[in-house]
Amino acid sequence: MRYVLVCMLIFNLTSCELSEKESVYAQPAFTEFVNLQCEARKLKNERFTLAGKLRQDENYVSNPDSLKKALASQGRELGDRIRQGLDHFTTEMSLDQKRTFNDSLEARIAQLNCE
Amino acid sequence: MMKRLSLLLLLTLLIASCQNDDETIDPIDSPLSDKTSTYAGEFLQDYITLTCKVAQTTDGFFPTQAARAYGYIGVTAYESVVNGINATYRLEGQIDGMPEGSIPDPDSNLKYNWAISCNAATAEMMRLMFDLNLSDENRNEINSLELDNLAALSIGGNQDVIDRSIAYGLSIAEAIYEVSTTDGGHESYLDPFQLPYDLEIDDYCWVPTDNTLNPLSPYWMENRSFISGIIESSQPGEHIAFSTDPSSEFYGQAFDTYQQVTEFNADEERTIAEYWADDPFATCTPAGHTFSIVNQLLGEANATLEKTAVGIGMMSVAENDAFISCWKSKYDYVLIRPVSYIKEYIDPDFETTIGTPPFPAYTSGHSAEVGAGVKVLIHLFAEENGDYIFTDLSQLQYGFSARSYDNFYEMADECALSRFYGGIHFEMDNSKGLDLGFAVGDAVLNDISWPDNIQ
Repeated sequence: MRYVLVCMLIFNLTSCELSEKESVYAQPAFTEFVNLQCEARKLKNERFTLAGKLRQDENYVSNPDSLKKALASQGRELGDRIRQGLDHFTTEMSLDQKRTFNDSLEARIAQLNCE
Repeated sequence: MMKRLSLLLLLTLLIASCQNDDETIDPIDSPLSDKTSTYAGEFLQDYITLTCKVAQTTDGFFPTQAARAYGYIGVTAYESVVNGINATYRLEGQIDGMPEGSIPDPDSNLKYNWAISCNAATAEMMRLMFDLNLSDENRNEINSLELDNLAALSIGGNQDVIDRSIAYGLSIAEAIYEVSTTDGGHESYLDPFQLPYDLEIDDYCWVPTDNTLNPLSPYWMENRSFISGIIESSQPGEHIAFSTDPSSEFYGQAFDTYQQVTEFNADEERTIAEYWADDPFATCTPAGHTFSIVNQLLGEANATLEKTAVGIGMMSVAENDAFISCWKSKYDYVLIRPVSYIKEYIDPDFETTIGTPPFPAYTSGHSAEVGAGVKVLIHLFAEENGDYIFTDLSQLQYGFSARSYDNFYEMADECALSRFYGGIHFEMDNSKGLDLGFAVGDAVLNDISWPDNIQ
């Protein structure tokens, strides 16, 4: 009987931990993080696209340096917020949980057509 | 009676001889101080994260200058705490330019808080490495991080110990900074292109690939490396002989790059090329990406200050020396970039996938630094064959999907290959670059004595 109780206790503790982690993906904060990541993807693509266009034609825009700086600065601000979000979500996660986190993130981003 | 006394003496001697040699106190060790392993490593990892941001946003910090800055920051962090690990493993006396007696000793009769020393030393070295171009915003960020860390680390501490530890940390930074002023790269961020430099003119020679008319850091190879002799011993040898003959091996190398970009690159290859390029406009450079990875892995391992300092120290030596060595091969051969060759001899309309940075081709900087870096990563985290499962989350902040790896060598291969996918390197630049990097990494682990069984 005691053995059964101990097993039930262990099971409940582990299932609590799983539920707690799984519920991360239902949090508004996760949705916000997904949106930030989506924004960052679009900005990243803008930067690489601009770089490609400038390689083909250095006069593609009238003031490339200021545009580059603006994009880079936007990217950095977003980067700071993403880094904070990542710390918030993943600091206590195991390696497997991080992979699940990343998979969930990618699945949500895929629905948003960010690329 | 005599027999009993003899037995007692024998017993005493026997017990004394069983004492672990590791417990023998080095005269420089500070037995009053808590060991470095008793402190968490997170605050030092935060400095590495901040170094990336500062390198990105400070004028003059290209791959070479950034690797050097990381180099001295990491060496300083390590040296500021090594007395709390085992003073036998001090870099003083092991690193070129840092002879015995050049770095201050702690007072073995006094207590230190090694974390507080490290905090002071690392912050100070960061300010010094970026000094004349350091923006107020970045300076404030370093200062804030230092103060926040100090507040946290000082809780419950004795003020004398705190003050002494800060002073010791600053003295370490000052001493190592003095070393750095004579290595050939001092304040190189003020003149990263090291003008004047006379470009060689020949068919095989590098020509500008965009509106940057001068190549980066042509005299970087003259910098003093941390590991004596490594620059020469890690050299990859000559590249495949230059030729414009379509039947030649060199032409084949160029054609492979051309074909990869124009025919074989799909979304995945383009993603890989961009991923390892980090950003077209402002990156914390290839060394910064590798440091981001080691930082992430140290965090995931809940590494103590001991492991963090050793890991960062090793990576710092590796990255600094990898770039000096790579730049020697670049400027020994001054080899033309694929885009210039391809446009001249294969297809004048060729465009690369990513931008070609302004320096010669052979060998690839990315390949060299990641080659050196993975040797350190394997030593810290993996089996000898490089097996280690992890997901690199460091690039999420730049808008990339995370990438997962099962093996560090495979990660290095992907990084090297990314430059081929990008159209900016010949295959030989990458394979020989990796060889160069591996040689540097091996030297970091074998030519310098580091603490083992680190926690």
